[in-house]
Amino acid sequence: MKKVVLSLLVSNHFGVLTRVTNLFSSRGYNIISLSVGETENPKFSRITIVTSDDEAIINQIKLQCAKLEDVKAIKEIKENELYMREVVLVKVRVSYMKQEDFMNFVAANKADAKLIEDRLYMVEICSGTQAIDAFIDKLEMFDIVEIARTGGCALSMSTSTVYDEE
Amino acid sequence: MMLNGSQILIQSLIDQGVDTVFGYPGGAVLNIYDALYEKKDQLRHVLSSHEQGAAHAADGYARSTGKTGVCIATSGPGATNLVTGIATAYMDSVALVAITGNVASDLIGRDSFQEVDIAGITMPITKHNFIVHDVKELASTVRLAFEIANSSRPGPVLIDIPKDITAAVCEYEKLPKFEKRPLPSVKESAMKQAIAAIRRAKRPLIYAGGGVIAANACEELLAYSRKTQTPICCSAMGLSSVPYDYELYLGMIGMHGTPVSNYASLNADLVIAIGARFSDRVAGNRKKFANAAEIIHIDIDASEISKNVKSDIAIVGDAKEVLQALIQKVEEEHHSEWRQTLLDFRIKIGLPKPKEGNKVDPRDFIYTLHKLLGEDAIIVTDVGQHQMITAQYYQFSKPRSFISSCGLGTMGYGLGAAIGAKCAHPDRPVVLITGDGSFHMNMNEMAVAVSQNLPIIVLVFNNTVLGMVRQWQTLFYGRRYSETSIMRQTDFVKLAEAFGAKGFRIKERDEIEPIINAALASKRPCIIDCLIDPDDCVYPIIPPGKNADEIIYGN
Repeated sequence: MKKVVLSLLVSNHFGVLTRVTNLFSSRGYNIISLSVGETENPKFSRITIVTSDDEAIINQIKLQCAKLEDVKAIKEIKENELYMREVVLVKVRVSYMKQEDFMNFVAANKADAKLIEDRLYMVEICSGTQAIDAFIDKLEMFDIVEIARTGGCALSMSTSTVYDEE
Repeated sequence: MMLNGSQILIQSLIDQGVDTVFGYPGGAVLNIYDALYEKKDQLRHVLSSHEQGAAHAADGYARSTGKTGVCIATSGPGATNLVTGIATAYMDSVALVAITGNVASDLIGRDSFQEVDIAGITMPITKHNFIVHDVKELASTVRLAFEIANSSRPGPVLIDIPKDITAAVCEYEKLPKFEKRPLPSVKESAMKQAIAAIRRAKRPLIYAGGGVIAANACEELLAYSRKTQTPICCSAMGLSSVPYDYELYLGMIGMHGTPVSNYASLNADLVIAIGARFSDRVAGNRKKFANAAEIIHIDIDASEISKNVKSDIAIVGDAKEVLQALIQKVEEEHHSEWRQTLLDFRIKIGLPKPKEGNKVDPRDFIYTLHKLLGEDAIIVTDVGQHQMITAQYYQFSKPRSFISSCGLGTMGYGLGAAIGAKCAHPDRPVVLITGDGSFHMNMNEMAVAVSQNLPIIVLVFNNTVLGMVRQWQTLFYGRRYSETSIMRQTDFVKLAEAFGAKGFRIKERDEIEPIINAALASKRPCIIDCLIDPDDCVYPIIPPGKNADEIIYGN
């Protein structure tokens, strides 16, 4: 099993995300995380998919995605040049006794915390997947009310772009 | 010129070279049918009994001609009734454009009468689909649909048009006929590797699929085979790409393939797959298939390479162009020892011989049919034992003369497809070979054959059981015949008459010739009810999931 990050340049109109996820479910491919957003060109969106499987299936995923009419280009961002970030929002209730610990914890993790009301905070962090996992683990020493987490979005930390694959 | 959406649709179809459409009217397509009324001298509309029949007819039309099949249905049930036909075309890579009406834009999403999200439903069974939101985009969408359906690997495309778009008016400008998209050029390195592998090979085998026919590459296939003396076997979709009497033709490969084809796959040291996809009906065990061979896979669809069976050399490209290039570059070969080995094997073990006696055996019926119909006939089948026996025994001479749902295995496909084929080829004999199970599924289309005056011969191999499923129950389920002895009391001769067709019955072997001749002479749609043995099994069979070395010859 190999975990890969795929970056898809797709037409920016409704239904395109469904076509891509439909392909994954109908062929039994795995989605670990997914994010989608507009690009510098309003005609295109970028979908970032993290998936894992053996080499042959990963290759199939790329070729099958490439056949979709709305997929303009697809690029696997290799691990050595992967720059991926996710955002997590955590609503945390902090007991009066732990207020100081909490403030130190937030500062130490370069997170941001906003007071919603008495002892209830909105904590946010933008980081890599593993760092976010670790951050949430540690945050459990406080009282987590709810979590919202995005999928990863990624670019390659090199001169290569998805447009090279067009 | 100002036209409404319906007029634009019809004119765009004509501009894209369409002369025949298959369909069924309804509320959401009333405007479209109104526009069709004005143009009925330029665009023939064949009214089906059920939208599924229209989809299969468009498919049969496309397979028998190489043109694009077009079908039209109304919203809701009309659209969902197309689904099996679209999926059938998708699995066998048939260029099809399906047009559905939908409820008006302001009614969409409100669970309106006869509303269904057909674009959502058909997403996994089309190459692409469209919902037209603006009448100004309609003409270009139609052209794009034809371009997508025909470019690279062919397949179905659906266009869903809300009713208000069919009434909205805009300026219409004629667009040129679509052109196929250019393909990326074939990798020279792959060609070099392939030529080296071909030079090394002592026991090469071509495994030809439907892609050879789709690419109109049958002549090139033969020329390549002649120059390199490479034997050819076909998948079911590849049947009719090679004339039956070609000396290096081994017949169909796979589950019900000929003994010699499967023997060749076990012993070849090089398999050249062309426009074929190593389906589970060919490569039952994909880990073991042709293990002794290097595999060159030539396919227009890059995602077919190593999808099921890992290939050593991949050539992504059009079969015709690749074969032309290979013919130029390969040396003449002889492979006399390998050819002799296969010839000896073929003499030793062939397909089962038809049984003696005066009971009808579908095997020699198929031979007789070929003898009586000549080289020009188009043979359509449904799905089941009759389909496999036809695939095994019919002697095809011309490409596109075998029309069958091979990938999806759609029972009920045949009659619609035969209607489509006959509409395209009024001067060629069209025979549907079916079973009593399959025919019961969509025999309502018989009304179309009669009203359109299409003299199709429907040959029902009637064994009163669902033969193929029953055969598996015999072989793999301890003869527990659960729901396969259908015991219908349908009188097919009376049924034919009720539809306004001609009915015949064949009970004994010596009736075959006179009745086929009488059916041909009648020049009317006919149903021939032919009684056969319910216990007959299709052999050989490679049990599902197994490799060719576990073949059961059955004779």
